[in-house]
This record gives sequence, structure tokens and C-alpha cells, in this order.
Amino acid sequence: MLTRSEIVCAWALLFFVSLLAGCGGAGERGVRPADARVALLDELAAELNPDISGLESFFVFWEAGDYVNAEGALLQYFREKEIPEEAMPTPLPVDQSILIRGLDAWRGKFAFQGREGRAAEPDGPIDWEYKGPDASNEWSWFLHRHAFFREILLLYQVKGHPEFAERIRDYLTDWFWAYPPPDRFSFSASWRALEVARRYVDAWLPVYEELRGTEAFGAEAEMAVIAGAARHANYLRNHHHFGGNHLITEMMALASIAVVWPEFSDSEEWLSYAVERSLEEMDRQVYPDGAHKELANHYQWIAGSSFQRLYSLLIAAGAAEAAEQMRPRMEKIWDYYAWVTRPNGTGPLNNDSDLEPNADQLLSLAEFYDREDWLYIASNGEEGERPSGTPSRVFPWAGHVVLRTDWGSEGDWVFFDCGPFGTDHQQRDQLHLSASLGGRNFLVDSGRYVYRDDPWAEYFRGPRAHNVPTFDRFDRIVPDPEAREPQKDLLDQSGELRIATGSIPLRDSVTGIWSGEHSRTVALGEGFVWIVDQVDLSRPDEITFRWHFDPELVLESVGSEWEIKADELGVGRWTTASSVHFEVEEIAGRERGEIQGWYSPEYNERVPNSVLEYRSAPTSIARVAWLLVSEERDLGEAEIFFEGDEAILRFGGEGADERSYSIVPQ
Amino acid sequence: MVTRLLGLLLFVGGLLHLLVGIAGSWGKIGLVYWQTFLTMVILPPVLWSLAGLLLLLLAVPVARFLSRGLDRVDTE
Repeated sequence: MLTRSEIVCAWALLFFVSLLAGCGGAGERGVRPADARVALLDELAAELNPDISGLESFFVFWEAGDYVNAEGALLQYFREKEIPEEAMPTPLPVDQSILIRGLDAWRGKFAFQGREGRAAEPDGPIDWEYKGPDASNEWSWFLHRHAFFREILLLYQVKGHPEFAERIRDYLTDWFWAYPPPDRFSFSASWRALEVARRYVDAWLPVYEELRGTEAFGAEAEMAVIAGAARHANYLRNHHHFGGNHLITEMMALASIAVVWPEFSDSEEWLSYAVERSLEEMDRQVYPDGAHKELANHYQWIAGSSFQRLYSLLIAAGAAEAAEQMRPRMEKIWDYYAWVTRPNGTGPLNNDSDLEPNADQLLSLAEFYDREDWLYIASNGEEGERPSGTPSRVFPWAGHVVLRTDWGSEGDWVFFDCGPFGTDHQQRDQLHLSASLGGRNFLVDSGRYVYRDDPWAEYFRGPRAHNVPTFDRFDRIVPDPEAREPQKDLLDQSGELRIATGSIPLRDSVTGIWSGEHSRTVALGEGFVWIVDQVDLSRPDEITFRWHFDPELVLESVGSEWEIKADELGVGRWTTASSVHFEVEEIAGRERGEIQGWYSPEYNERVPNSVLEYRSAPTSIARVAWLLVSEERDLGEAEIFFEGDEAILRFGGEGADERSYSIVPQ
Repeated sequence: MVTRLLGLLLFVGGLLHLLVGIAGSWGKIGLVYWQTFLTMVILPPVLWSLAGLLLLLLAVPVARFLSRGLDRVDTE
């Protein structure tokens, strides 16, 4: 006899198992039927709307069992149809490196995120289960996105050899029959929803547009792309992600398929569902200040681009009401993207980001939205109209402060993060700042490097890869993933300097009490950044500050200062003043023991960079001032010190203007 | 008696921890730390206190249940 608790446990287990049963792998592998073209015609007849004008003859032939004429009627109808430009990805440039990648893919060798692997023999089919040289899921996802189809396609367009189109045909039909859609949510590389979205709109659609009607591509591949539209759309409609930037891309793809293929019985429903979910997600995923809630410049671009493609598509499809609803938020998204841009045109590496070319990406958006101010930012003031107001700006929901002395390629720039953790792709970078002076990058964020569970990923995600202090006994508290209201008083522009402030609570790891605090004040002036840190702890602890410098810079210790050089020329100075003594060590490219001194501009790529590590003896209170001065400006001798409660910065010396500033640390 | 004592300890201990947690972090909770503060500092001692209170209120039936179980143990 079962007891009551055993019955409850059994029910709970059953419920959990039933939940798990609802999702899983790709399902069974399919086999290409003997008469593949007839099977495709049957599949299409079941999915297409028989009331569509122009498809009548197809249905008549098909019902009569005249498959040859049915196929002819169907292909003729679709070959004559225009595919809206807005549904297509940005064309690939005719670039030698892309052509080489296309040739490699034609021979069965693929390179994704800098890692190369052979998934097929030169004449054989692809082993779709191959996961690359590191057996990584990421590599496998990229293989199933089929982006290499476009690279082979470019090769075909340039060279004109039919064997390139034939290879795409073989890869595509092989995959089509091997991977029928599962009827449940799948985490497999073949039917993970993001791969479904990317594969169809970024690979199959452009291939179809270019190769339809060619003998090399053939009728089977052509019909597989058309039938594939319904397969992909039905899957995206019913098994998309629950949220995040993936969902936006998936809904953009669903809307694209619906607009390109209105002939399917469910097309209208696909479009209205995609629009409805996208508008909901826009409210859910984007702060009123325009920042995407994952708070990573890279995903601002990814999510923004998906919204942008959907927005352009809605305009093209005449869905004026939905497009109108999207417009104000779209401008906010790109406005944020414009304002965080560095003087050299790249974006910050906050959270999981690569080095995005924000300025280049903005150019077409400035034209699309007729925003002269974005054009000014993107062109470094050479075109467009200067944005109104001061060039510094706070994004109170994102908790990001951008300090800037002026626009232009030689401006001074600081990106200071005192916001929430982010809803995904988080890094423990609260109170981190990146800084450029005179257009040159000095202080940097280390980037994202890889998505893995190993010491490398832990380093890049953690505070040790950022310009923030860590402690022996105290832990930095991770903020909430999302802000519920905007923060106030993050930026002060009332004085001569632009000043940003933020603080983070610290937790005593033994008692669990939040009995410490680190507050940071960042001041930007013409040619210098001055940072004042205050740490208050309920009991003495060792504090370690780290400062990560751009990989192009070389540091040299000169007395109590550090001279910063680029190409053997002095470009900056780094000075410290502190209420406690610090032992300083320069670290670059350390792989053994505690990883330190690495910078990643792109996924899977890392280069060594210099990091200054300042370690104190146990202390309860520490006040530290840091000064970074550009040598390319003639600012004279700089001196920083504390006087009572104030931190003082003084410039002077021969031939230089005497100036002094003060900050009272919070 | 033991059950009541345990309940009282949990209840008072939870309350004390809550008070110390709030006092220790006074003035340090920024706008983007509230959710974390609630889940890390407030919720655990509140749950301890509630568990203690429940144990205090149900001390008699809990003690009876435990003693019945002990009676059944064959000590030989």
C-alpha cells in the first residue's frame, strides 16, 4: 500500500517527466523517398491554399494524378513571383575571403567562428552530426544554419560554374530529407528554433531567389525550398523560444516566410502571430531608453537588426498600423546604439559582446530613418547635423553613462556601467568603465571570447576581466537582471567635468550580511579620465583592483607612474593616489594558474593585453584615485591626492595652465 | 519541550538574522539591487522564522507524532 507522501512524489515525478517529454532532440532521421518530387507535390498540395489565383491549374493536375504538369504549373507560378527585397538578408560583398570560404565549403571544409573542420569529403554528402574540431554545439549550430550556402552561391555568381549550384542543391536536398521537422520543441542543432529561423531566411531564401529555374539547382531543390517554407514556419509558429533575442529573430523569420509565401493556408495566421509576439517582445525586451535588456552591445545589434528587418517587412507588406506602433521604439533602439559608439566607430564590449562596428552599421539606418544626428555620429562629424545638447548622456534604465568631451574621431569617451545585470548574456562587470582619449582606446573590457563552461569562459564573464575590484572575503553583489524603474543622479554635468557615479553593495561571504560598499566616481575632462574609488568594509579585507589596457599599448613603470606607449611612442600616463598601500604587478597573457591579461575582440579569438593588478593589505576603508592622461594633449604635470574628504586633481608645470578640480567621494 | 525550544530558536534566530541583515546593509541597496536583496537577505530568515512559528504552533501534535514513532522502536 502506498503512503500519501509516496503518491504525491509519484505524481510530481510523472508531471516532471511529462514536461520533459514535450521537448527533446531532432526526432528520427528521415529517408529520401523513391519518388521525391511526387512526395514534395503531395506535401505542397496539403499546405497551399487552393483559393489562390494562379495555383488552380496546379491543383487540377495534381488531383488528376498528372504530376509532371502539376510540377510544371507550380514551378512556373512561383518562378514568376517577386520576392520582396526587405525579406532578404544584406547581400554578401564580393570578397576574396568569402570566395575562399565558399570554395572550402564546396569541398566539404567549413570554418565557423574561427574554427575549421571537415564535415564532408570533396564529393560526398555532409555528415550533419559532425560537431567540428572541438566537438562543440556552437559549431554544429552554425553548420545547420547553412550560411555557407550563400558563400558557395557567391562563388557561383562570380565564376558561373554549375557545379557550385549543384553542390548547394545536393547539400540542401540531403538535409531536407534527412531532417523532417519534429512535432515538439527541439534543442537539436537541426531544429533549434534560432537555427530554423536563420537557415530559412538567411540561406535558403537567397539561394532560391538566385537559383530557381536553373538546371543545376533542379526542380526537387526548388520544391524543397517552397515546402521547406511551410515546415520552417509551422515549427517557428509552434515551437519558438520563450523569450530573449532568439525569439525576436524567430518571429522576424516567421513574418518573412509569411510575407514571401502568402500562398500557404496558414500564412495570414503566421504573420499576425509574428507581429503580435514581436510587438509584445519589444515592450518586454527593450527599455524605454532604447537599451535591449540583455545589455550587451552585440545583442543590441542582433535584436535591433531582427526588429529592423521585421519593421521594413511590415512597411513593404502594407501593415501600416503595426509598423507605426514599432517606429518610436525602433528609433530609441538605434539612438542608444548611436550614442554608445566610441570615437573610433566601434561599440563597447559590455556583457557578452564582440567589437561591433557601430558607426558603419549606423550609416544605412541614418538614411532609413532620415536621422541627420546619427549620420553625424557615424561619420565623425563629417556629414549630417550635430546632435543637440551635450555629447554626454545617461541611459537611466540601462544604468549606462556615456561621457564624451566632444564628437569626432579624436574625442574623449568613457562608457560606465552601473546598471542591472542584464536578462541574458551577463557578465559581472558592474562599475566597469572603458575609456578612450583622443580617439585612442586605453581602458578596455575584455570581451566575451567563448560560450563554454571552463576557466576561460569563467574569466571573461567574471569581475577579473573587468576594471573593478575584487576582495578576499567580500563578494560583489550581482544586481537584479532587470531594472524596474530608471536610476537617478548617475550623471552630473553641472561643473567643468562630466561626472558619473555608481555604487555596488558587498557581501561578507562568512556572515552573509551586505556589510560593505564600493562606490566609484568617474570624471572626464579634455584629455584625461579621473576615477575615485571608495571602499567601506565592516571588517578588514584584501582588495585587488585591476585595470585592463588596450592590447596595442605597452606599459612601462616610471617611478610611481606608468608610461603608456603605442608604437614605442608615449601616448599616456597612469597615476595612482591612495589612502592604503598597494603592491602592483603587470600581467599579460597569463594562461596557467589564475588566468589574467587577455582580451577578445571576436568570438573564439583572444590576444594578450597588459593588466595592472593592485593588491592591498587587509583594510576596512580605502580611498583610491586613478588618473589616466593623454600625452597627445599638452596638459602639463598632473598631481592627484586626497585632502580631508576631498580628492584633488591639479594640473600645472612649465608653460601649462594651472587648473585644479575636486571630488568628494560618495 | 524540545520541539518548542527548536521552534523558538528558529523563530528568534530568523528574526535576529533578518534585523542584522537589514541593519548591516542599511543605505547600501541601490535601485537595481532590490530583487537580489529580497531573495538573498530578506527571504531566508523570514522562512526560518515562519518555520519556527509553525513549529511552535504545532508543537503538541508534532511532539505526539514523534513520541509515537519513538514508542514503536523496538529497543531490544
